[in-house]
Amino acid sequence: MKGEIIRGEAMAVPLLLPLWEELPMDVLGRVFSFLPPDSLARAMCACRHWLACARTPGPAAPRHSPWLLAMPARSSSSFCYARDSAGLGRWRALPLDFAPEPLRLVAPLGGLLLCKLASSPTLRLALCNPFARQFRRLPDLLTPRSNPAVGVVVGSSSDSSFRVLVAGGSASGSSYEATLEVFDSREGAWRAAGPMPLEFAVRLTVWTPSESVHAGDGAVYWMTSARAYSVVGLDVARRAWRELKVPMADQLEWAALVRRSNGRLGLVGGAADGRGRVWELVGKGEGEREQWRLASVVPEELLGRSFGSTSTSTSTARTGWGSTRCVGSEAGELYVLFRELGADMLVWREKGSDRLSSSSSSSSSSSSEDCCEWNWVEGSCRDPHSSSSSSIINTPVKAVLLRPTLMRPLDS
Amino acid sequence: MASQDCEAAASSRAAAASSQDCEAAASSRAEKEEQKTVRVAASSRAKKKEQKTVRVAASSSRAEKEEQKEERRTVRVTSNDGEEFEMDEAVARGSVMLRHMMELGIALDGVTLPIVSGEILALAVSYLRFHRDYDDGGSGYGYGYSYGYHSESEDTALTNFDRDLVKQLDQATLLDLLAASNYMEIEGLLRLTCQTVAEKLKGKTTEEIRQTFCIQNDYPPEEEEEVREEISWALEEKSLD
Repeated sequence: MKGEIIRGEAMAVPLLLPLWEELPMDVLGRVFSFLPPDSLARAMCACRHWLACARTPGPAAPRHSPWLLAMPARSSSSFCYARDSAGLGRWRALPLDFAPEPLRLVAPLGGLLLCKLASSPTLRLALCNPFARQFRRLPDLLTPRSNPAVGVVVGSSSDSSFRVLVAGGSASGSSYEATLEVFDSREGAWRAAGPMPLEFAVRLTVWTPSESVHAGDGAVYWMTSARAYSVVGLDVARRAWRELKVPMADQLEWAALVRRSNGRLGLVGGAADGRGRVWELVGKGEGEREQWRLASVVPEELLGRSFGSTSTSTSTARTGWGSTRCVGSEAGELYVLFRELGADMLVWREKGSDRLSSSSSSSSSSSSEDCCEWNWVEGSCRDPHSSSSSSIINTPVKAVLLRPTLMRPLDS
Repeated sequence: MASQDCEAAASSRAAAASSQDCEAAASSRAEKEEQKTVRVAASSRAKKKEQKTVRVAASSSRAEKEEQKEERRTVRVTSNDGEEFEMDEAVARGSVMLRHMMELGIALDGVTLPIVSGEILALAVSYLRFHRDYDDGGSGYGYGYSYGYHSESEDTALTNFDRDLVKQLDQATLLDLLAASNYMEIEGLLRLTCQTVAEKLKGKTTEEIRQTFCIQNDYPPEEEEEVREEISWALEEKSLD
């Protein structure tokens, strides 16, 4: 077949080099791995071969930066909103009409979104991908419950398996469901995973948003915000629960857990003094006392405009943190601080994370300032004459970072 | 007067160019001569060593001979339009395809690549030659993947070379080079060309992509409409308002 390259001892060769629309899928897939999802989407319209290739799992890992995807936190919307975290380009509205029911965002899961059905009082989960217009319900929980904590464990990059953990929640009446359930994608079913301490069930039900971080130590962590922040951790393999203190707990106005690129648990927080900080949990399992180590501080010059305040400002330039939230990417190379959709964003990025050889030797004691950088990302321009001034811009949103995929893994 | 200067300048430029060609030809001829004399010297050295080491243990003399056999071995690669390129075997090993051929012993009389033109092969060979000087072969990662091992100045040199190599290429040449690097299995060059193509795709509309890359739209209209609807979010710069 013209354009197909066959190899082997006989060294059979094609007569001509292929044209663009005939390039072998593995090569074309490699080109596509460098494309951000919007460019890839336009490229796959070019011809059918390119469409087929864009939809086939390629040999190369995606190399584009993650996108921030946001959905209204408390209301339903027929759109979700996504933007390249590199800050180029604007927010794009992705229709959600392919989903049979209104959804709320729970967590990123590889290139997919774990969502819950907005209309259901008990937790009902679904997977969806607004970039490829795919939706699939997960089976119902074994024990129905409301507002449990949800944790996600993604399998290694070679397989696309994952687990969803559901802990706590309130059962019918006013009792707490002090049990854990686990959904394993390889089995396609929930399994009861035993009881859990009631105290943790209460904390996880009442005071926990559903963001969780699966750290390299095999534990899943949730941030609970009962008066002062603290962290609840579950060692998944041993089903062991514990609580961790949080640095500057009584001074933090907001805090979020992230995964660091070295697998450690990270914490990003904004304190009452107006400074933003990133900590890393060290020492566990390394023969030392476990403690939080300060890893990074938001540079002065980026503060005060929309986030926090500068400590040296004598004028009333203090904006405060307001509704600042922070999300981290699954691989830990990117954190985004944001408020509302239309507002400016602060992005923390690990240097070299966009290059191939990024995982080179960083010893446990490094992670110094010059391996990461903070950047400012402009909010989207608001048209001052627009009468609607789109309410979505000021609506509280929940957002996650993910690497969008145009493939169709939910088809089956 | 002015036009005379222009003509003079033009003709001297032409002369320089042709003498450059001549110089280039002469220097490559000289290179080939050098390689021949070195080969001759090596073999005569080997003979002398053979005579000297009669009393030395057999294994060590065998080892010495092996060493000398590895010096200055080259492979000749010919394009489909008859252009020949002679490379050190160490350089040629940057192409996994050539490496296998050499290991199988089928490259001794030279290799002809029926789908690679001289223009493209020249680019590939210059890539292999330049990267041979900087990359470590046999690391298992192949050429072009050893960036972590270099000093910063070496790293800059590598990136500048790569950038200059692909900078001027039109899409047809870029495609040919991409396909050739895939065919010849030159990992670093394949990555470089793939990334360059991706850069050219970024930000373009579908129609612009088709025009730039001369791609035939083979969608039946209903199917095209379906796909465009699916990716409607990517088609325009929609603001939130």
